[in-house]
Amino acid sequence: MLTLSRIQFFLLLFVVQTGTVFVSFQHRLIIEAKTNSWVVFIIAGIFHYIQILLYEKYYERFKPGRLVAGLYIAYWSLTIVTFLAYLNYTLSVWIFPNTPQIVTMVIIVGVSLYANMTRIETVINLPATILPLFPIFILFLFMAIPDLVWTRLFPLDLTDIIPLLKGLFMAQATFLGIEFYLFFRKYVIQKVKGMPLFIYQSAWFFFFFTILVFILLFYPINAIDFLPEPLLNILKSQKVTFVERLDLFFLFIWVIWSVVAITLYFFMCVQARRIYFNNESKFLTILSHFLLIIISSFFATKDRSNFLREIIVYPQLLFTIVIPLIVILMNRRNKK
Amino acid sequence: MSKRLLPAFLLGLLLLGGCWDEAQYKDITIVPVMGLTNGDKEGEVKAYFSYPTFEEETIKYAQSEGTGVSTRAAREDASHHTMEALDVSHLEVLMISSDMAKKNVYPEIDMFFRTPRNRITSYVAVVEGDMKQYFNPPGDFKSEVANYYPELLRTGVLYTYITVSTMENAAKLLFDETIDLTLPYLIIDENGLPALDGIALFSNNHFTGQTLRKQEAILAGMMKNKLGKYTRLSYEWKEKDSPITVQVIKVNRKLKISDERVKMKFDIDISVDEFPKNDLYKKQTRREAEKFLSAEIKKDFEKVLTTTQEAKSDVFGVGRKVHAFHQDLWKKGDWRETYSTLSIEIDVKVNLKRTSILD
Repeated sequence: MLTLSRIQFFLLLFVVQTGTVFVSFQHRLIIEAKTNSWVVFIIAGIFHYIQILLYEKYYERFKPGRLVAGLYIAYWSLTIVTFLAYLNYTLSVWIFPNTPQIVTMVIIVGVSLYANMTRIETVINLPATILPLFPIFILFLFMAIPDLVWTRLFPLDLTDIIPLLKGLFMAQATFLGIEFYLFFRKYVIQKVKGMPLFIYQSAWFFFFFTILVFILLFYPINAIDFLPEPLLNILKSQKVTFVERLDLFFLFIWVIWSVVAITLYFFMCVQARRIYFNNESKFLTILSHFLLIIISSFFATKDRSNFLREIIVYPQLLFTIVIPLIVILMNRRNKK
Repeated sequence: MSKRLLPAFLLGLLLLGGCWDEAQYKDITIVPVMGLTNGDKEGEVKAYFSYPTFEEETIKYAQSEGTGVSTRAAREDASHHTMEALDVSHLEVLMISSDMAKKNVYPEIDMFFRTPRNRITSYVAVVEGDMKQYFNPPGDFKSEVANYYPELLRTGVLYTYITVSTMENAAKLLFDETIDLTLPYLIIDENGLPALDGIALFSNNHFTGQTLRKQEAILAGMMKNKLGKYTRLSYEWKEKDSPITVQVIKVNRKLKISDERVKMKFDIDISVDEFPKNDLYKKQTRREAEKFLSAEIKKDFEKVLTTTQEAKSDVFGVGRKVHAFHQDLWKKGDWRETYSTLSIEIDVKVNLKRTSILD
């Protein structure tokens, strides 16, 4: 039976949640909530903590059947397509404008296919590859400190509730993957409740919040309108002696990060198929990877990848709040 | 496919990525210095390029020019006169004519930001007069323009003649409603040689036509609290019948805004670099020096401030604090107009921290 240590569990969750979105979620959040974005994100952080506390309390009652498991596989497949399309579009504009997108797509999905064809432990331990990259990323980001202007965090206007709610909705992008908690929690052999959970919440919050605040402090608010990846632009603005383009360094870090996240999503699809449908067909695993390459290639344009990123929040709310709630409540009623 | 073959296949694919996107130096010509000016026709851009050529095993710099409806089109046009395509991904200096800078220059520099390969940390400067002269100076110019301008501007930043003026920083300030941009201002001097004359003052994304010259530019850098490695000021201390040169160690600026009145308070730590009178061993002389320098610098700061207010150019970023915490004042009208009529009081306190190795 699969067992996870606390660190493995939280690292896996962190990579899934940060994965592809940490480079892009700020753009839409800032467009909606302007300088209030950082306050909106603090509120989002409180919601996130409440959500994982509730997950921790009721995870044992989360026992999905075949129908629910099938729906989750469909949702994760949609998430994979969204991530892959955005990742490939971003790579094509930032690094590989002339390389056919199918090549980068095959490389990324190929890593997942290889990992998912081997032992479960390979995938579970894959997030550890991110660990050495994390301090490098933070170091690069902190090089922008001399260019930060603290007054850009103000003025705050919390009287108009509509932009704040829109901002809060956009901040939901950082909640993607939170449902993994419900699926993996039962395999954790160590104590999670209390301080460990709080430490995870703090890590999640400070990671996203730091990036958001850096962007708010670095750019005038009206410049964000035409910077879809402001984080990449911050790194491009840094002049260092050891490399011409610091953004490339960072882009490769982000690609590795995203590939691991995508691999974990594929892993969830494969495992859900194995656990809930008793299906371990390798042919299906290969076929699903192949199909997702084809579908993602279709969506790897500006308009289509934006469309997917805009709509993914709706099923996300369904699969992280509504469906877990229904499954937990139904399970409770059955017990009675 | 076997599990062992898959990693090999992926590695092969990874290497293939470089095939499509490689850019070889033999196909391009790196441009270190570029100039932009208005073309002869309305809306036309004229671009000048300085690029290296190899003649008799030495590097010489040639010039090319092109015109078009945009900067990119002008570059394409210029590439028709060179053996290889002109590549600005390693650009070191972009010069913009003062005429062109009098309107919003962002459209002319957009192409540098849109293409990820381009360097956006290149210096930007405004030049007075005919752009062509800066590529072929009329005087006895002993250097190559491609080496001269980057070094000139680097030295300017080092000695606080100018503040850091990279393309990225300039574009950011062009979009910032709460502060105005300054750019290095180059002229062709009386000897026909290009020289750094001071800084060009911008107001709401366009060049005002007004500049701050050498010493004023250093003072403006101090008022912005953007010091280079060396910041030196010299004064004639008449009471002591001696010149005094000081090196600014640190500036601490405090901005107080209340009832539409602004108070700028500066605490300036200095070290004495030159004082032939040599009586700084006396405590009284040191206090007198502080008093003298406080009064002189305050007088100069006020002069610089008046110039910026006349130019409606908030280069000190007073608007940043007003926008953040004094919305009533910010919303009074166009900020540049408000700034030009604002009552700003300056207070300077100089602290003599070091006398160097002589008293």
